[in-house]
Amino acid sequence: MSGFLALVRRDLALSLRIGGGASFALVFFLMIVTLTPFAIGPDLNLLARIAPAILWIGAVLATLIGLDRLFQADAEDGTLDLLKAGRLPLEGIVLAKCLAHWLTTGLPLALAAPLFGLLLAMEPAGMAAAALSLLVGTPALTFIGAVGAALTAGIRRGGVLIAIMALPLMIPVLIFGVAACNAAVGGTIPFATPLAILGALTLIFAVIGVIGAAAGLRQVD
Amino acid sequence: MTMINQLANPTRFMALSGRLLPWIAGLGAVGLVIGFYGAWFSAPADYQQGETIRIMYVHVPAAWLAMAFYTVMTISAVGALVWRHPLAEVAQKAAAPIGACFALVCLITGALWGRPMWGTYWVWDARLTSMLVLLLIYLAIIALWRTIDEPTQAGRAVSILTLVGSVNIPIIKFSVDWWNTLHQPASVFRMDGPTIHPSMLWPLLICAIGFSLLAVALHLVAMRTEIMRRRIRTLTILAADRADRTAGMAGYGSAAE
Amino acid sequence: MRVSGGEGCCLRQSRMISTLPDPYILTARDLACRRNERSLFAGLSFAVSGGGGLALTGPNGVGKTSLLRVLAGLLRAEAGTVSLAPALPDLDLPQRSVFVSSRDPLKGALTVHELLAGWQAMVFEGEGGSVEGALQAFDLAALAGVPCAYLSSGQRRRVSLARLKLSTSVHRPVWLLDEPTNALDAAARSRLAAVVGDHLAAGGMVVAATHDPLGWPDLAALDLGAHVVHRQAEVALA
Repeated sequence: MSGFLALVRRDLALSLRIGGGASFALVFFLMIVTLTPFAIGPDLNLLARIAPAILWIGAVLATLIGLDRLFQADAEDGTLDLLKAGRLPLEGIVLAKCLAHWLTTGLPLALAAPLFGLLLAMEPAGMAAAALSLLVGTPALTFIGAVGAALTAGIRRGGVLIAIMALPLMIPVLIFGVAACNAAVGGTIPFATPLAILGALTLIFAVIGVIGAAAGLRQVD
Repeated sequence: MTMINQLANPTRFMALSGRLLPWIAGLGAVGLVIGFYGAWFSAPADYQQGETIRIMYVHVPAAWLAMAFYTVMTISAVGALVWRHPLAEVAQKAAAPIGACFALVCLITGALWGRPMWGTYWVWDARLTSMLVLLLIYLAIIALWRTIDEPTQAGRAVSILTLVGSVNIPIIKFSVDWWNTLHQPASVFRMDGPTIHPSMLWPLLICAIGFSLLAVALHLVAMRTEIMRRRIRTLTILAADRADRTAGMAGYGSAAE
Repeated sequence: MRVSGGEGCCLRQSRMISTLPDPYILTARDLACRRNERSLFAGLSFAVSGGGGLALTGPNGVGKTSLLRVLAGLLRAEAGTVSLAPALPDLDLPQRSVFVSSRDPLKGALTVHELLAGWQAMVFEGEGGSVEGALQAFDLAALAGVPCAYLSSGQRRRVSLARLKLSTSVHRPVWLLDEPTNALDAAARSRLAAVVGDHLAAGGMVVAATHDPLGWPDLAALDLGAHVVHRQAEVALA
């Protein structure tokens, strides 16, 4: 357990310091929110209607940032070999690294969502729903991405490939994330339904992602 | 298991598949001729959809085969990961582009069929959308194959991706259906229902069998090609090593003199 | 073929028996390894006992690094087994060995002390080594607070090697070293030789891949070049 926490702490320290890029995802998220009105015009009604979609697509794309180095950096410099010699199983290593990635990517996005919702003329209820759905759903995005990151850990130019592999698998999370935001401000279904499914997806992808990524790292030799 | 092992030996596989291939391809061609004859001349036009119903005889088998090939890939992936069998890797690699082609055929025929039915080539119908996502997953798998040079390593990575994908496909199917009912409460029209008239059913089944045999033949050809490609790769590496060694010895010789 | 620790090693072993009744024995049987369709070596068997070691030699590409990775449990051998006696119930060879590869797993943003403390917590927890001891052993105390990004290649190598002292010869008796003296100056080399000497004296063993003579006592030589299989036109599916 202490090995697990030490790995989380180390990954957090590495991403928060110079060269780590912890803030990249948040800045990228802000860019997407800013670009959309330029593309569709400053129509506040339209923006408010599609705000959940913008926030969720922004979150999906921002999650991909940093994923290409999630395992590659450690695989390249031999840290992964060293970690394999410890008592923490590879699944634990994957889980620790996913947790650190989410703490510097998904969590800040969820916390910033209400603020960015202001730019998109969202109602307060919609902002709260967006924050909550991102909080529940973004771990699933990290876990899905981890599989892609593990499969490309041993190769260069893995970045785009991770996006190609992970994005189709992220569709369910996107569907229920946006549905939860929309349900909070109207519509026929209760907010809790898509949110509960989103939570279930996070749990399912936690299992698939951790097992899949660990299997992927095993074949990096 | 011995039987499977014997079949799974690449040399045996080459011999056996070489003998079977003309028969499978021939039977497939005959099946398609009969099936298409039935589809064009024997089966009636639909009372609602008219002559466009005949697209079904290509569209539905393509949809089945696109899914069937993912199943083939999943089974091969298990074989490649658990028993580490090279032939399973080859089967899986050869299946991906064929499955992707059938998914594409399914989408194109679906769009052509949709034009007279919906008045537009594409609507975000649940079935078509799921097939589009399946095509994306196929493309991702092919992209991963093309990125990792070393065949065995690529085989293992792709097998893992295939298995993760096969766990995800039901989830994606469920999500897309849910999303579709959320946005389109009334289903516009059913692509194929269980209530299909026998005069349409038999050409459809024969077409499906013909397409399946054609797909198996294509798969065998692709597997044989991949085995050849790997042999060439191995021979090239061995030849390069031998040339390098000879050059090295010659170098020693001249240095000694 | 059988290589044991050599003459010096046997003497040392007999001296060690009073303190360590069960000397460690690392046994490899019929190892074969293949990378990228190239057969590296096949039919390789050897035994190394505590207090001794092996120096792996041979030209580039014969599989010195691959053999070390097989011994470290990082690479699957195509055939053959590796075992360490006496066996322990839940610890496999990777958890009973320290593998120092030719790559330096340093993180530029962390200081040397943070890096070593991280390794200790993540990998070598509760194995009796200490960060201070590791710093001391490789003369790194002055660099403890320096970020790894600022280190020279010789200093990086020393930090890399310092992990050897984060465990003890009892917990991890097998040291697997890939070109350990690369980039090291004379002073650092003698530091390393002293650390290795202590390890052997405590009953541990060393397997080192090397191009240069290491100058360590008690190491038998194993020329992997003699075990390379040159496949002729034998074609197999990878």
